[in-house]
Amino acid sequence: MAAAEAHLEVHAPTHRESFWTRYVFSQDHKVIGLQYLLTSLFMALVGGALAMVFRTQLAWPQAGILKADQYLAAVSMHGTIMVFFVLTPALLGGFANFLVPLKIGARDMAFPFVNMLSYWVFALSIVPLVASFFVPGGPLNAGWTAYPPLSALPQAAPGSGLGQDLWLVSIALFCVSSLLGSLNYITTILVMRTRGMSLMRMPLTVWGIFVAAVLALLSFPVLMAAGILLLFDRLAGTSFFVPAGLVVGGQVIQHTGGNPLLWQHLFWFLGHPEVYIVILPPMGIVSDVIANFARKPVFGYPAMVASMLAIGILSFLVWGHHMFVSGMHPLLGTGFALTTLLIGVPSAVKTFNWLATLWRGKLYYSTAMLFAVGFVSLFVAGGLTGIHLGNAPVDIPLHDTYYVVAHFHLVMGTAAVFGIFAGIYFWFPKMFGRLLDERLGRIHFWLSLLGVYGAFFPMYYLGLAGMHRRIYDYRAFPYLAHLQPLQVFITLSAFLIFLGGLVLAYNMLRSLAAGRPAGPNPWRGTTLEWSTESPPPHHNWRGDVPEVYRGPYEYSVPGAPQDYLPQWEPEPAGVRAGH
Amino acid sequence: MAVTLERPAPPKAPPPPAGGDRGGEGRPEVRPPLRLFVWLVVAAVAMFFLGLSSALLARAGSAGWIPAPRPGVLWPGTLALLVSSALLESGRRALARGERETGANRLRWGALLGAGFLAGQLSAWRWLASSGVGLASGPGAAYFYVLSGAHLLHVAGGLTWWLALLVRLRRPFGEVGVQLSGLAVYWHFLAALWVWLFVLLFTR
Repeated sequence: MAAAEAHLEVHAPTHRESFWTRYVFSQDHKVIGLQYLLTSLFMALVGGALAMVFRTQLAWPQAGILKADQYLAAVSMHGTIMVFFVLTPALLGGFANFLVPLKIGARDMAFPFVNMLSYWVFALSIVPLVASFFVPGGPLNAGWTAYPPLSALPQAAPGSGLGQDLWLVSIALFCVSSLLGSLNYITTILVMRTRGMSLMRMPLTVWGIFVAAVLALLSFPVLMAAGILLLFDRLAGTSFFVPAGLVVGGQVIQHTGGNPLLWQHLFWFLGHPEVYIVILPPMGIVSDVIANFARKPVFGYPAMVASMLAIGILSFLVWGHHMFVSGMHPLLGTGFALTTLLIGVPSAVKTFNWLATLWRGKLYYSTAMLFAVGFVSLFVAGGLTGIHLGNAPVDIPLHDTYYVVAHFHLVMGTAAVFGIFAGIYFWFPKMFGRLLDERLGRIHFWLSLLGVYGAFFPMYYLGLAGMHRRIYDYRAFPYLAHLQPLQVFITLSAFLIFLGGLVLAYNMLRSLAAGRPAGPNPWRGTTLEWSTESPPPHHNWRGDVPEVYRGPYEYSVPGAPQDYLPQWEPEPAGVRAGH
Repeated sequence: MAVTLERPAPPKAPPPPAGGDRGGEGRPEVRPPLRLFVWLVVAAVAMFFLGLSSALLARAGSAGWIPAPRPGVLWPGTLALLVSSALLESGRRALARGERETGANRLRWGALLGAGFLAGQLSAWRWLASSGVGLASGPGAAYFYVLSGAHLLHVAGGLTWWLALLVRLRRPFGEVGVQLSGLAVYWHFLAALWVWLFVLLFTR
């Protein structure tokens, strides 16, 4: 091991690679992280553009810019892209790859080749997904949850044909990519930490990524199993999910005895942990950002870690709350309602601790901080209605209405996106050596905040008014037709969000070329990534890997020569840090 | 085949903790993480088969379950897999003790029996197909083909790794030993998994 380290010391400064091994098939975790992040942001533009199109349809259905099956394809692909090809890879691919070795003091991931493979399988998984736009019948129509029998019978809907097959192949590849990534993150965090970096000295971003990686490792294989069974139903005539006696297009289908509920159980066994896979890393990012810009230690660090672990465990015990109306024994429903309400406790602990960290801090509202505080706001605005929906009797009338759409877009969708934005503004200088423009950043933030609240908060009302989530033209229902002005308002607000995204894209391109040089530690941060130059060299540190002497959030330390004590600096005389 | 193996180097004493009494765990910078990696793979594969098994259990508990006929070749195949697992373990330990020829021979026989299991599963499929039992013949047959097929792919992956290690037995034991211990974790898991699947598929 010492020999390996010496080898790196000798070779790191003179490391030479070709264009292909440096930027395309790179095994450097930082390059792979950026590949993941930029691919996810590109997919966000695709998924966002789809939302703009179907929101236009909803605001002005009389214009008929989409046909009914195109509308279903657009919402199905929007959900798929945003969950699997934006949020998950940006966080558990982009930030995880870029940050984990830098934050724990490792030269790279435990298995760099597997890491590269993970990205390229992910890139490959996008090919069938995008190809499904161009096949006869178009992409899947069955929603991002792909419930059978709609997803199992090729003749059920236009998008139930080849488009659905391609979706399944794409998701199976994505599962493989996600597993390869998770194996690497868990192994790296457990084994590769530098000297002094005990588990309870890890920044909360690393904790969030660690717990999310464990969830991904244990839940994606179940989705893969379900996907394989569904493929067999579609291609080999088996009846895992298709019941007997269905009539499609006037013809009785040949399948016998399958159970569509089985898919729902298997899907949501992944699906609910997936929600936490995309929210735990932002929880960590937001903790890091808030502590930095409040210049205070994170309030209750051990409770923050414990609540992440509790959320991780409980996330495997709540999947049934997605199925209260699907047919469930009342006792089982009560159990799922209880576990769902229970998961609110660690979530509330985290919210309380973020607020307590802000309390009487020396707040500086950089763009990263604005997005971090915005995350907390959205997490509360969306999370509280989770308590309503977790109760089976309340959920039953609200199931599949816009009330649910509002809930998950606020608590999980846009909150996670705000976490990603906070992370981009915070670590862009480390990634590229230049700061993002703060003025453009603030424009981006306010467009996003106003857009998100304008788009999603009124959806609670739409849901209570009875608007079902997959209605193509609600004018057919008199009790919904009068809601069109509200639909227009929502659509205009959604345009603001998309406009904000374009401002970010412009800001990134502009700052890459002409942003203010960042230096190694522009935010006066305490964690290890700020101890090296920006962007970090190959193998992260030119000299020895730094050792760690204290916890990650030693801000405003009494008696310290500056208002923070980095993890990598030995204790100055006469200073007593927190731990 | 001549085998030249060396005993593993004794573990080095851990370096002193950094940072005095606040230095955390004082761990070296890099440890061979392969075994941990394999355990994590096992956890993921276990969840994959847990998903499939729970689907089978739910389906078998409902009306209309038609069990698949049991191919007789599954019994000797199962025995071959279990013995191969035992040979891998005893061969690995013999090599670690420095008993090169004994260890290498056990590993070769173990791999052969693993290949025998693979051949047995394929012949079970042929037997079923020739009896007119296909994927769409009923739930029992569908689950048998899918579960045994998924298991077989994992066995094929493990066997490829095993064969690659047999070729590399000439190298110093330290390197091959780490890999063998990882392979053993994976292979024992696959053997136990097959016993579980066998019971699950044919006791409904």
